[in-house]
Amino acid sequence: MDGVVAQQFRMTYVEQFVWRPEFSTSKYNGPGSISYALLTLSGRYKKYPQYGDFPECFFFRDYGTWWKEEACSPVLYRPQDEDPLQAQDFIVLYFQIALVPTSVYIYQVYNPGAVIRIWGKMHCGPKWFLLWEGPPRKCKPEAKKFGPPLRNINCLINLLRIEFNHSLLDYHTSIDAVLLTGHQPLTRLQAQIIGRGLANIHSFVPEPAVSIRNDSSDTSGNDYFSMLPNEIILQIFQRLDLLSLSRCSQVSKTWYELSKHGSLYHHISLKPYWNLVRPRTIDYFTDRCTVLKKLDLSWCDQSMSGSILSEFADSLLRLLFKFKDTITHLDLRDLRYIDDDVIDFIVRCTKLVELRLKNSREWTRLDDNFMTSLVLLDLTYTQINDLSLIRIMKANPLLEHLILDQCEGLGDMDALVGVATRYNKKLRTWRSWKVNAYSEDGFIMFTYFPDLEDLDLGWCAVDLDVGSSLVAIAQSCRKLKRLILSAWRMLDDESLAAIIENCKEIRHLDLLGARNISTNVCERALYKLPKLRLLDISYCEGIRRDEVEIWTQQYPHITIQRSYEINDG
Amino acid sequence: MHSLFVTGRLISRALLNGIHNFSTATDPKLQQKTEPFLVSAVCGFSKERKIQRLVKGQFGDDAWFTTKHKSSDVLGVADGVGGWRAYGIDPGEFSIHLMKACERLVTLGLFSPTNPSELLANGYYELLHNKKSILGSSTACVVLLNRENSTLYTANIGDSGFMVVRRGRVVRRSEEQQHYFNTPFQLSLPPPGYRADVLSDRPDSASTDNIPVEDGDVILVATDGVFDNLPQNIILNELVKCQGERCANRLQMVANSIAWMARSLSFDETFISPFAERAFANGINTIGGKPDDITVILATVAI
Repeated sequence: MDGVVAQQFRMTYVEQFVWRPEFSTSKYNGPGSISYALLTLSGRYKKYPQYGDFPECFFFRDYGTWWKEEACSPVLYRPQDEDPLQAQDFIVLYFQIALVPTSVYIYQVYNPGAVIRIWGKMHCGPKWFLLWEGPPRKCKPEAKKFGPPLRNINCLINLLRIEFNHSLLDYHTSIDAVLLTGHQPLTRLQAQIIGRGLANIHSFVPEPAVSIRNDSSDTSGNDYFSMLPNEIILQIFQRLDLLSLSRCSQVSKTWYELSKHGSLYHHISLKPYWNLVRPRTIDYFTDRCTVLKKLDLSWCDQSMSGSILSEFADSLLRLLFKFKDTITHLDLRDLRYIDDDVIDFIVRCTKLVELRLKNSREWTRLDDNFMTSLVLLDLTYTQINDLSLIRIMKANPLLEHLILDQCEGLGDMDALVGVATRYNKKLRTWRSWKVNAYSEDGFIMFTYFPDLEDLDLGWCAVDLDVGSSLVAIAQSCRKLKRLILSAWRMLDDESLAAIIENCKEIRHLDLLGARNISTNVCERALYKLPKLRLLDISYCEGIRRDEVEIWTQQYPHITIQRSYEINDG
Repeated sequence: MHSLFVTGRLISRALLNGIHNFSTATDPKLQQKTEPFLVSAVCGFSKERKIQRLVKGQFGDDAWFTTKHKSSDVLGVADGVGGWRAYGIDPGEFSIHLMKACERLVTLGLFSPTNPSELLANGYYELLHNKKSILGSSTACVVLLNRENSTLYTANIGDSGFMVVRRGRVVRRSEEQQHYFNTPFQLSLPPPGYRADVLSDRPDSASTDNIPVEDGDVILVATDGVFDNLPQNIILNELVKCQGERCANRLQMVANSIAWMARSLSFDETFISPFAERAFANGINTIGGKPDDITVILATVAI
């Protein structure tokens, strides 16, 4: 079957690496750096077949199930609509030459096994083709060139979308390069024929004729289902996923009428069907719903071309306008059509409790704020600025979870923490991974949040000398469960000892790159913190490797991370 | 044989394309590449007499890279400051990571082909994003050939340097930047707590320069291990030999001989080296070479 088209047309065989990485839903680093960045995926592999933690390769932000267990992690609005393979992240890669794919090789240089789906698409085309899918695997810790058998599609593609599920990973996965091989049409005519799907004509198998049983007379007698009261049928329908529900609506007129009932659509989650969602899908729900409370539209923007994106925005505007008084939860992650106009409508949804705008970078302001009851605000990797954020924080005293990871637009974190100490005393989560806008004295203000459980200050103090702020934080925030202090280069034994003495609730402690930590204090953390489950001491050069090996046997319930980079030589 | 093949191909193409295309097919200007590029060779020695480890891009505490992008060819050297060894920090680490970061920026095309000092600065800031805490300090010199206007753009911080020789004459030579004798300007990431006591120069304090180059020009980029031990006339004598050289192997031989001479003289205790002369001028009475890591990148311009 392989290369039927290739034989027909005598096409040339092409191997190509990524020309331009387009998009990723999660990244380790902020936008300004090329270390661990998406950009490193372009071109040939640099490190393969070496195995290790290299800044030359692409990294995601999370791994394992640790991030899912946090209080502020996304909860499915319609649990029945869950993706069976539970894709968590994806990357989109652009290749220079459009071709009929024969194989895809993913060069994984650190913790392989997380790839679950590969999709292909022509850059300007409307449809994604599924090339391969499979469950995540547990793999040996060695560099792996992963090349699954692809489905045979006789279509041209030059975009790849690779989906990941990190749940089985011990640590961050890392990709060095992606190779796409296939057959390139030699002439424009060939390209047109394949591009329009005419090449499939030979492999077309006529569908077996469906024999329609003529038993319409029986149905009325045997259709016990329709004897149920409508309320019960609605109850059953409520437990169906959207795809089954739309199939049900085609069964009969009664079912069709019932499936339109507004009570079925209080919560909508379209993320698992991202490849099927068109602007008119959103319009459809706008018309059908009476009361919409929770909406998850994450990932649903995959048509790529500019005009469709603006249609998406228009549809979303209509939906937001209709339901601005009822919507409470809004999950709009990784969307490229959230522009300033859409934001203007979002802030008018006065009942919003949860708002996720992660990784949408088209909007610049968030000014006229009408939201007053926000509990969770996720602004990861957006261009939010200080003034807008301060306005929101002042208006939402109930705010508990604030996620500001990788927001490079924030200029004065000290001021923001200061505002929060006055207006948002209920804060439980404060995340500002890779926000490099604190000063030496800024951290001391976290002592005003006694309920803080999740404090992520990774990479916030790379070149700061914070002195004793950490001791003060440890003494006031005794409920801390998760404390991320990655790349706090000056972190010393004294601060760590204070944390160990005071914060007995800690589950997840990240000390990556703290080179002054000694072996003794670290061991004390292991036996004095009863709830500790995850300890990251990668690149802590003060801790001896042989000790870590003993600890992993001594404390089997604690996952100790000790990432390393192998010197090439 | 070669010309026969070319002519044969031209004739067959002409026949294929019809006779009116004949004139363009034989136009010599279409066949000829006019883009300038660099032919380069690298040689160096660690100051340790026995070789400890061999890592590509590193000689002792020195580091180097040569790379190219479609708009330019880039060469760079960096010399890790050895004083950090007393603090338990490997001085070679800073320099090699700095050079690797610059190399990656160039291969990804994230640089301006007229501004190597910005490249150096971005490479330096990239070190802060490494999970490994990279400490130490280093001098650095980056030389960039812009193919569009055949001009060499340079950025230099500290006492590494470059030299451009055309037909037996030194056309341009970098100047040393020193705070005081034997203490060059340096980019640094000091360990926490030592910040106040450490000399640290901002990446934008690099001295920049640009020189239009001609076909056959010889470029030497080297660390202070070369310039402190070899007097300029000796270097010049060697560089003259490879004027217009396009064979990388012969270039390699010259690079080897420069590096080898610098190494022998650095261990010569009776030789009055440029370093000793300068020490004398600063009131320090010393004689002999200065044992140091040596890195030589030799390149010729081919247009």
